[in-house]
Amino acid sequence: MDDATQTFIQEADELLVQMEDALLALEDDPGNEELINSVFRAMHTIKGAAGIFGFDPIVTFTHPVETVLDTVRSGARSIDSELSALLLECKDHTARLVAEVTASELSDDTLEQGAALLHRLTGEAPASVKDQVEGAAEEASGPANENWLISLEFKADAFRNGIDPVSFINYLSNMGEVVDLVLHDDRLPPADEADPESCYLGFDIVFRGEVAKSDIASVFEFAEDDCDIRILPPDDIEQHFLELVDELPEDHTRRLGEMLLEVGAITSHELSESLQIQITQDGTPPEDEESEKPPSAPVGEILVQRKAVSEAVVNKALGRQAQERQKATQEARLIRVNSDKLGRLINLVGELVISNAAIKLMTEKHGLNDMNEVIASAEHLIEEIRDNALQLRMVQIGETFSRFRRVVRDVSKELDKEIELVINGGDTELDKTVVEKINDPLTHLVRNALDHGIESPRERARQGKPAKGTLELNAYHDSGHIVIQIKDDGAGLDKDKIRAKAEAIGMIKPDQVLSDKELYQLIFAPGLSTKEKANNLSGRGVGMDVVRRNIEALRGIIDIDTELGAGTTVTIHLPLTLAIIDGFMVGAENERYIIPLSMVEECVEMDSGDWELSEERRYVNLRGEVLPYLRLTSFLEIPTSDSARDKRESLVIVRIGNNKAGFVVDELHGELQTVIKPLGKIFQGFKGISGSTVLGSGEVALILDVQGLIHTAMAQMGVH
Amino acid sequence: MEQREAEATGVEEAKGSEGAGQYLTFRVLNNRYAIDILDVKEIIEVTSMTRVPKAHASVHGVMNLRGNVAPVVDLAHRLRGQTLRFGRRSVILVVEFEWDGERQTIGMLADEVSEIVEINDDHIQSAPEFGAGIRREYIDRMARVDDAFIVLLNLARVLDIDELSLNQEAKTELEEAGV
Repeated sequence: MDDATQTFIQEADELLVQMEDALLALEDDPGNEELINSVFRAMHTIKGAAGIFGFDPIVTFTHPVETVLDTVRSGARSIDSELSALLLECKDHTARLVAEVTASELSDDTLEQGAALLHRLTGEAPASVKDQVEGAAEEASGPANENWLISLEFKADAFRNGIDPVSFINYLSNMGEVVDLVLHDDRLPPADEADPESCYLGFDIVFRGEVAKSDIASVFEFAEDDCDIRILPPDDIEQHFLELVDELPEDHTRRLGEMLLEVGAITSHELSESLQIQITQDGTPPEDEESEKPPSAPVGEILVQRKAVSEAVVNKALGRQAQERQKATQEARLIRVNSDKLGRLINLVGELVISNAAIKLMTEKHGLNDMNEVIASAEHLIEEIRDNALQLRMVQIGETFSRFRRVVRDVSKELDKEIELVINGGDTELDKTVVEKINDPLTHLVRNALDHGIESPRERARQGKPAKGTLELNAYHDSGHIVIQIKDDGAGLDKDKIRAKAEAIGMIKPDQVLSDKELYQLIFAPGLSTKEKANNLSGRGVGMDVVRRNIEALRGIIDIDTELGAGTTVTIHLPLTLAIIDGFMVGAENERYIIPLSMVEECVEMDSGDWELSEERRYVNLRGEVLPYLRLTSFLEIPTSDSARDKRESLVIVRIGNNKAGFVVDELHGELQTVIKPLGKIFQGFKGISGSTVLGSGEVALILDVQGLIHTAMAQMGVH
Repeated sequence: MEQREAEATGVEEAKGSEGAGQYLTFRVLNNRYAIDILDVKEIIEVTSMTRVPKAHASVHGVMNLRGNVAPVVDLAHRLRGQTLRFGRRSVILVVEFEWDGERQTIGMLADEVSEIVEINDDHIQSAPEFGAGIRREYIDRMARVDDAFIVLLNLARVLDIDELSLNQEAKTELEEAGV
């Protein structure tokens, strides 16, 4: 068995496995177009490939199956369990056919079974097996009313070599019908000069027949040396060649000649002849027809010149070739790596960061100033290694966003709404673990926007909005964070409704004063849904609290901005990574804490004289801006030392989203690379600490959860 | 009596580990306690610990355990409501157990480790209703070793994460919410 047949068997196997998988998946998801296409593609490609190889029984069987699948694809027939079972049988039968035909062991039994199966599938009476083979051959080489053009130019020595043109033409007429024949006698010299033993004749034959190009070529096989043969395919066969080029299995090493040969656009004789010409032109053997030197024409050009094949087919094949090479180079640039291995690498880099900090500490302790420079360069390298290692885990969010196209399509169909999804910033990158964990909350928010947010077309028209609603998914970077926005131009949130509902379930008191923002935040509380009637998408009042919990578990924050009648924007701020961050270490009394550097806006000296600080007023005037602050020492209940020396305090100003706050600390220790170590469940009760890290000295320092601290502080102030 | 016990132990050893288990005994505020040796990952000397604000009063802090951060529970506080005073022989027993599908590594501060003893199942009995000096739920069972009783701790209760993660903050929040 030759390599090509092996390839065919292998490919057919793969396709059949895909087909089975798709069929099984279809049982759960009968409307999935992608799956239906996958089944169709499998049959279609096997049919096409079998046609190239001349495995007619396979073509005969797969063709009607393909036709049935086409009706499914166009929606005329739907896949039910019966059809699905039949198609699975067809898949099995195709596998059996492939095995038997390629081994040349086709049994009549198999053919009978195939015919019976087709009967059940199509509901048509089984034609005799032979008829079907013929029918399929017709199908494979295009409708019979298109004609081949065969041009024969016999050489002078043809007669002497025992070639009789007439016998060839007679033989040709066995395969089909010679519609027309034009005799070219223009080379015929005057009678007295003519050598009766020489052949001066040429023929143009218009031929009709259900044959492949190679079949016609085989007719003239013996005349090849004494005759210039050009076989031009009918237009639709040419079209067929173009399609076949498209369907060629992916293989970037394939040469142009091989591609054309495989689809049957040229015969192997034509190819070797052209290559021969190329060699003669070039003078050197063309080991690779793509790398030939300028003087010799590319093989494609030679083939076209010799009218072996049309330019369109060659161009198509060349295009396909270039495409595959490009793809191959792109694929070669990607390496699949187990994420555990990446995780280990990042852990090791974390250890490296910590031990480098230890070295730095030691040299400082012993005053080894000579070492400063080498340590600085090592630190710089480690920083780069860290960034690169973390970069390995970065993926674009676009893929996650794209998944919502389907959701939007399905949901808008289900709810009878017209909704367009706009995606911006799909190339924004963030940590893979974050991407995985953001999917569920995102799905929830998108569904919310589709269901609660965007109104029905009629309602929208009534309000003077375009009938088609827009849902935007945006992503962008903002000072060390990634921001994800889910924005709809729907109904917006009704403050009064939320308030009424919150009061009704006793979440807030009727006389409680709340800002709009606080009011909107209430929808993240458990049990609050303003949709009167729950449907299967959303509105049961569970979910938004889960969304917030998920986001906060990622050390992110979620904000809502909305205007009644104009739409809602949900903004999520997420940290770029969960493993290593740049930290800013501060000291309060004898304890040290780390604030994520990305949140630190600036540090100013705490000047109590200017700011008239008092215990009642917990805010300062920062360049005309009101800035609330909290004192870490008292807020974190840090045991104070008795020494009543005059301390110089500093104010670290942090920003989250659009909120700013100040932390009063005793000391500023500066920046450091912080490897985040989880603190464990035992500390989950307090929201002010998000994690911990090991310092160079081996001690543990805690990382402040800025958002959590501010929330806790706000809650406390509300109480007092 | 002593002779009979020795005989019994000998028989147990011959039978294998089925009827007997090895326990690590240690001292907290002059009382001896024991835990199954299989629960103990390692015993380390007292290292520097970092206080965690607003954590449960029995949680002394967190320590660096070879690059990982683990909480340390003060057994004196947890069992007897008193703060442990560090002595020369103070140790941290590192235990590992499964909680909510995740492995938890927790250090426990004790005054001193005594020894590893093999305790025959015959010598283990259920806990008295009261009189052991600690909460009944912390006691798994009682074991008789050398004519003295020691408490086999119920680690799942002593290190109940749900309980230990409740700090003053969470409690006040719950109270505010009217729960």
